Amino acid sequence: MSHLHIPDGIINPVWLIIGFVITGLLLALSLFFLRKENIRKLLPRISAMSAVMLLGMSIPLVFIGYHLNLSVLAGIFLGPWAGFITAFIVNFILALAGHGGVTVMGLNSIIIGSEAVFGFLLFNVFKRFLGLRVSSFISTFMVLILSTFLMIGIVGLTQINPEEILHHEHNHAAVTEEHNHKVNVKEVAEISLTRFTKIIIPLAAIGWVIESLVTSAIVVFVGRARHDLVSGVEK
Amino acid sequence: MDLYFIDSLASSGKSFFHKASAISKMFFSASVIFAIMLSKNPVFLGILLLFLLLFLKLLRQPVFKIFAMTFYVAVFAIIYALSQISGPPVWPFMIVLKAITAALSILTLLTTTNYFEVFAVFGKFLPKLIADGLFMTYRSFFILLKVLNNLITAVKVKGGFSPCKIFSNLRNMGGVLGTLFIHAMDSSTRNSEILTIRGYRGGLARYRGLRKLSKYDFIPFLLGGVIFAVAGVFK
Repeated sequence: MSHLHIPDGIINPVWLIIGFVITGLLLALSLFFLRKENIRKLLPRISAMSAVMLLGMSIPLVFIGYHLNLSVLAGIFLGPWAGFITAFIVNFILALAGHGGVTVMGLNSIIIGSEAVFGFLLFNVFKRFLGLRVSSFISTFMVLILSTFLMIGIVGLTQINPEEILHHEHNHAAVTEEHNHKVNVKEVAEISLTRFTKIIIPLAAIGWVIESLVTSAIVVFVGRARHDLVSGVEK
Repeated sequence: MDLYFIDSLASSGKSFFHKASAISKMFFSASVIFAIMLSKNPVFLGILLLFLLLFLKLLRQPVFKIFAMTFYVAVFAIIYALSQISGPPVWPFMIVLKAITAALSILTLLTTTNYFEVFAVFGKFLPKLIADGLFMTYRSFFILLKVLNNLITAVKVKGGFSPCKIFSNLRNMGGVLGTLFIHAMDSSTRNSEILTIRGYRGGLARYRGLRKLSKYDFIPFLLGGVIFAVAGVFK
């Protein structure tokens, strides 16, 4: 539920460009940190994880478009940098499949990629004193809360002004009237973000629980069957 | 996620649009998205959506099934639109309209173009690891899809999914995805060895030659240009 499914054509192009620039920088940073890795080994691991994420997303859950994300799992299994690249690849294919805006791909990648990065960090902190099941559950749950608020933050930051989008033919004759109108639009925007948060949080909370339960089940299963695949566990 | 369905439509179609190169069709879809971004006119957006649906019908594509694929985007757009309901009355309608039309323009591209051709275009400017990651993820998706279907059938046969046992279902799903992940990692190791034997040094996506421009590319270029020009006039 933490995808930023804001449609194309709504967000100001400046924010879209900022999103792409930040994602580009994070990708460059990821490639820099992975430069010593063997591409022949890294590429199949990234593509295998990306494919599993896409397949996980194709399993419908409960109702209204819930599906698994597994980006935290990507961070746990591949580490933060390969996890970020995996999240970008998945996001890229999702956008091409009409599952989210193409122009918001940059902003989306920041959110989903952050799940992989913070998922890795929190999991490695918790697993020092907790078991695999609990540490993966808690880290996934916390990261999903974080990414949902990151999404709400981005929505708030890129606050869409209906005035800019809609075709208005009013004549703003008086300066005071125009000022009042601007104030009203600002009020609308503020109310909208609160309402957006109120709608999204209860829906997302169900997603947090489902995703955390499934992620911990996968980590426990893989941890038992193939201990070496869970990043850092063998160290 | 309907990658399998999208891929089959792109591979089996024989319309004039299918025969055009990825570049001209990407120009067409980009023009539609830019037109959506530019437009502030709900009538124009409605006509554009209708045009895309009729165009898909002309290409003998399953219009309703493709339209249904915009569901995920529409769900988030509706949530977003609901949060904006205190704004001008046309605004929520515009959000949903923009979301669906943009998603449909991307689906028009992907249901008429082989993914590999699209990736080959992106392979020109994306880093090797990411471009090849896209290519191999897509390939792995279809290999693993069969494995996933077999695993789900096996779990169902053994009574692993029961409508009343939510937690048990989620645990079993974790087991299925865990098995899938291990299978994916093992096959990725084999792929890694194959790549090593073949002397892989990056650049899989670039090996796919781009289809040369032909007479079939005239229509996508023309339509894209006209849509963008009309959007500029009636914005």
